[in-house]
Amino acid sequence: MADSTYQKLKWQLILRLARRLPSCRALTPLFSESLERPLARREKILMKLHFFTCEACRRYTAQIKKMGEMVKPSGEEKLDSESTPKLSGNARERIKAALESAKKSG
Amino acid sequence: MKEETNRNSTLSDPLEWFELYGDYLFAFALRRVREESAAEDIVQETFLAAIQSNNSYAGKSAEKTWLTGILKHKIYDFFKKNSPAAEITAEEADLSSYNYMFERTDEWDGHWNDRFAPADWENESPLRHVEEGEFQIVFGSCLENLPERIANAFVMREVDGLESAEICGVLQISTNNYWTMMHRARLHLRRCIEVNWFTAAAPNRADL
Repeated sequence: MADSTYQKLKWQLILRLARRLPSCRALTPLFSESLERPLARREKILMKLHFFTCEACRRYTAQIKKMGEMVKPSGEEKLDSESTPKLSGNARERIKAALESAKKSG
Repeated sequence: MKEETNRNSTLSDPLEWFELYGDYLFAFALRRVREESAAEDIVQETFLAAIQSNNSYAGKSAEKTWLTGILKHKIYDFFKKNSPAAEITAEEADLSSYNYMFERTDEWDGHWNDRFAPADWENESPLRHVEEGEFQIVFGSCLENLPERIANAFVMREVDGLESAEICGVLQISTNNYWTMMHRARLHLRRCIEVNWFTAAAPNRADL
């Protein structure tokens, strides 16, 4: 079938290309840097070509970006749930005492 | 300063503000410095600074926002104090503990090992009702396994959205070193969050 011939050729091209490109391990620093600075043309092409051959790295790059969104608070941080840590009684007393004396001297 | 001189805008009683916002500021600081005693000290310093700069509070921003602003500065001061004025150490730059993700016995050594390649997060989304606080616990413990400065860099960049120049200033490192740190943080945290959040929280999945 013409379709499967096409698939075969595509796969061969991907393999040949992948052999000539740097490995995933070598390119992961670049993926992180793509979130930090504008990449040079050469770097952009390298990244695109590698992505063409490698779904895992496409996913990796999308996920490290998503991770930033996951840890970023949206609006005011919700810090009043039951599981949110609170100041201990000791710390509370200590800080109050410090504030009292600062108030007197100030 | 006398209390009646500046009625609307004066921090009339710091203890009152402490009662109102102490726990919030503590949790805010703890999320970033990840150490109770440090977070307590930072909260205390924040209120002391607030008393002193009493008149810089013009009542324009909400009290809580104003205090949070001071707190953030104190947090970055703490990061700075805990970062030796030195470039990245060999230990910090060492990525060998992550090599396992790219080890293969076939001709593709250096490419993702199928067992550790990024999973499809879309299919493993945690249940909707899982509380945001629970993600914070996973994220916090994943940060713990990074060298301190690297965790701090990641917090400043991704949690607080600081510019790289500011982060380099706080940690006293070059831009190149900053990139190296962020790469290590991402490599580590992506895997750690995948294992402990996406796969662990997915329904009907045996413990891995």
